[in-house]
Amino acid sequence: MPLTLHVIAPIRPGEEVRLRDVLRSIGDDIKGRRLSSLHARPHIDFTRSRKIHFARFAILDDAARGPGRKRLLYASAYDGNLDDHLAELIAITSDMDAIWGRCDAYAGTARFGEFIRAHAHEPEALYIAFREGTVERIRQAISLRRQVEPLLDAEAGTSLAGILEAVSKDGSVGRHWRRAGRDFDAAIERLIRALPIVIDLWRAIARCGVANVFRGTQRIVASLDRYAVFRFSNWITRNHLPPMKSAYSSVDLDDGATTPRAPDRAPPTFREDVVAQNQLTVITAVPEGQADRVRAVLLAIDSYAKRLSPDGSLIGISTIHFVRWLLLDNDRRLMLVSDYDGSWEAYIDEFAELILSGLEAIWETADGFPPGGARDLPAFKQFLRDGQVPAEVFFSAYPEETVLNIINDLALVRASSDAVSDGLGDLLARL
Amino acid sequence: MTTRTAPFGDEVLSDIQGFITSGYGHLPHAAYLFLQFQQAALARQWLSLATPAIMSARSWPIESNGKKHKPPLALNIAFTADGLAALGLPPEVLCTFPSEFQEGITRPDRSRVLGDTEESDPAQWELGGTGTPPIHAVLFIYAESATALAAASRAQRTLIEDAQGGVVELPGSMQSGHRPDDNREPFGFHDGIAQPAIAGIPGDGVPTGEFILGYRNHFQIMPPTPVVPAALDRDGILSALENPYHADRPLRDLGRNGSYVVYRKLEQDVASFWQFMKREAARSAGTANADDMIWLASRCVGRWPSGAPLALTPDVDDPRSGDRDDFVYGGDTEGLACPFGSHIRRTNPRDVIKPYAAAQSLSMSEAHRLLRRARAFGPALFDASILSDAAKPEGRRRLMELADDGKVRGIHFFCVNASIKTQFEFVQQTWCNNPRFAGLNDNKDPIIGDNARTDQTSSHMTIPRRPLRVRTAALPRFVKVRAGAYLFMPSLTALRFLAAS
Repeated sequence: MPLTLHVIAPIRPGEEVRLRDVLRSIGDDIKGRRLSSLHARPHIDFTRSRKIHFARFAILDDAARGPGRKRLLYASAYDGNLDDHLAELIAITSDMDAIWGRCDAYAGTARFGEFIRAHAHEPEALYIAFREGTVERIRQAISLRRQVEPLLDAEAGTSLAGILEAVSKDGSVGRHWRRAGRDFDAAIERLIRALPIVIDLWRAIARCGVANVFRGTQRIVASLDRYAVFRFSNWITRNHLPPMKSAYSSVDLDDGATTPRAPDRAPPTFREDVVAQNQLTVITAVPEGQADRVRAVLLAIDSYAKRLSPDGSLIGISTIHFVRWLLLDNDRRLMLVSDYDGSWEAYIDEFAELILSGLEAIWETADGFPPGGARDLPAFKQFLRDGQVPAEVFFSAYPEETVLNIINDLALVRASSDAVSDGLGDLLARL
Repeated sequence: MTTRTAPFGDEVLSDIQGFITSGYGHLPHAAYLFLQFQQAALARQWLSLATPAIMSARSWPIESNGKKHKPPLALNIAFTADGLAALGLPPEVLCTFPSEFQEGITRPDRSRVLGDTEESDPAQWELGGTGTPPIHAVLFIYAESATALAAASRAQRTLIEDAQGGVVELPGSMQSGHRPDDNREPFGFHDGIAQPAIAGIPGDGVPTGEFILGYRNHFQIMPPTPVVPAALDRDGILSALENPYHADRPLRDLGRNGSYVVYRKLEQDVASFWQFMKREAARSAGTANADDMIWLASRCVGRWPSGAPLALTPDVDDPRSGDRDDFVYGGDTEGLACPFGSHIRRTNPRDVIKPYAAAQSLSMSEAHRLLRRARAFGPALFDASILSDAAKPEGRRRLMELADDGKVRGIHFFCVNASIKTQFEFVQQTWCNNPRFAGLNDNKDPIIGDNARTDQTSSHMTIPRRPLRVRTAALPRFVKVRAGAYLFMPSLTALRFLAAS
């Protein structure tokens, strides 16, 4: 299963501008915009990595250390263990000092692991779309599909069709038994995976108190009426989103195009909307005394994601590769780190459409959360934009693949290796 | 998914511009005058003279014979952000318009997302681009006949000349459009069928706030609206903003009963479209024939040339279903009848947005609808009736030998939406230009997608089929953008305010 790393290290005073400069040029390398001077400046050769799914660098405020202070965020999702990941990072980075040397307490590559561990944060909630999907496996699946596609275009495809048809007719009994056996195994596996929910629950109650766990969970499911079980429980407990205070939006009247609220913060409209995948980093303030309530909600999401969510879908949302929530700064800040498919607008709309109450449960206590709630979508989007930090570097190991594409490509691998021709036929019909 | 709303009364309808609620189907001839304001006071004076003639959405009177008395002429107007500034609207008001409207359609990051690059680059546009003088307003004129249109245009030009240089028509900019008798766009397909009904005008439909400011939208929220400090509305023309979240200062609602209009002049390469279909039909079948070309072209569109939806009649064109829009994709979750990548399935996925359930999909689709007000320009390259009539063999032979005649043709695409960002731009970016739409690989909208971009992997059209899918060669770009603008179409009240302030 892929692991995630979140490092937040204070940047030395006065080094922010130069660090941002270095990071931006690395970011531009990835976007293919700075090929000519590749070796002239520090770079990270992510293309050589075989284990990093996603990685990003961003520069965050560091109000606690004083005005103007900043800190560096490095967030990644990787295969293998942390030491191997760090070794790989060192190997593909041309000049570690140019990045990490600008942070307090960095003492060279020899003590990099120590430095990273001292500044790493564990997420309260983590969702991984493909728990068994390593970079290697996903890339192999893509490459298999890429090889099959032209075969189907060419005339050879016609004969392939004939072969398939012949194989399909061979509906041997053995295959059905094999399939039934596999379904049974999968069901057992699902059950074993789900069981520790009980432990999660006790742990959550111990950390956040029973009231917070109960209320938090209830808040999450308040709008999940499309599932019969929640519709029933919501009906019994009269658990619904509160009625809207007003049909008007509380969104700022000034839309910010001519006078951006925080020029450093607000990314240009489409900065993150260029390729099939995008990233989102949002930091919001948690008021004093509310952390346990927020944590209870996050632990419930975490438990669901770990124990119940099927591949590629978090409560119905199928555009997330990795998402994690972290409580920072003694529980005074909440950070969302997400790697997702498609446009920013589409991503937020999907949340609003499918799990509005979840958005409310996570952020309703946050400073600046719209008084009309997440249902006031223009105001909620502004709330997220206000807390969003642009990534200076964003790397993806498979930048053109959406979660749906990966599901299809992995299914192609499975179908081909199983030679279950029915399944293969279905796939070839739409590839 | 329809919303029930009591029908709007004439007092509301007479404040909404008629362009928003009607395609003026009975007025086949259209002219678009592109204007620039040179001097604010004179321009406002001109606007106050032009406003009384602006057609509203007020219901048309019923004559003694029981028929509607449809007006023989219609006039409407919309403004760009530059235009509102040139009319004298101060920055404190302009900044309350949505950012995409303030920024305009030609910003480079926006062009990348809309697909306005290379041959569609705004630098090469005839109108509204980066190398042409800015558009300030568009005057829409619709008439029953070409002569009536010419007379109406002359009358408007006289009014403009009377403004003593305060308003000028951008030289050589006038565009004319027409509604073809057979309602077919230049490629030969029946167009303009899927128009969402607006709740309240007059019956049930998509929530009013998806198309008109001042009403609840799909999310049960009033779309954000531009506002004016009460001190600037000295005559008290505009209604007060009732938003409780901004009750701390007196504001007037400039947006109410208005909307946003996107303009794109889309030039269609009809010959290359059908030549591509011929090449591709020949590639899979050995030799090409007109039936296979039409089959393939229909997969790209999602409807047969008659307009009959593939979802209802996948195997043969059925002209009797030519104007049907009452269908869903629930029976076609694999795209075997209507391919996922087809133009109409991308622009309105209805009840199947993978992998969501039907109710969620319908709901998501509803939040991104557009009212289209397109008109064709240029002469038809061929008689499109042959596409739906197999009894015309010689016509069908001509389809196979279609060659370019050097004339330009296409459509003036206009669409009405309450939010350009979450409707027009969303559809263009998230559905049409998205190579991974619905789990597809390297597909873009075959009709309006930004295909054949040098900085991207080539895009194809994939047609699900058993036992093997069909995938076309790399798609060229059949449609290029030649002009464009983001416009605000104010209410009649707001027009009076703009003319007076």
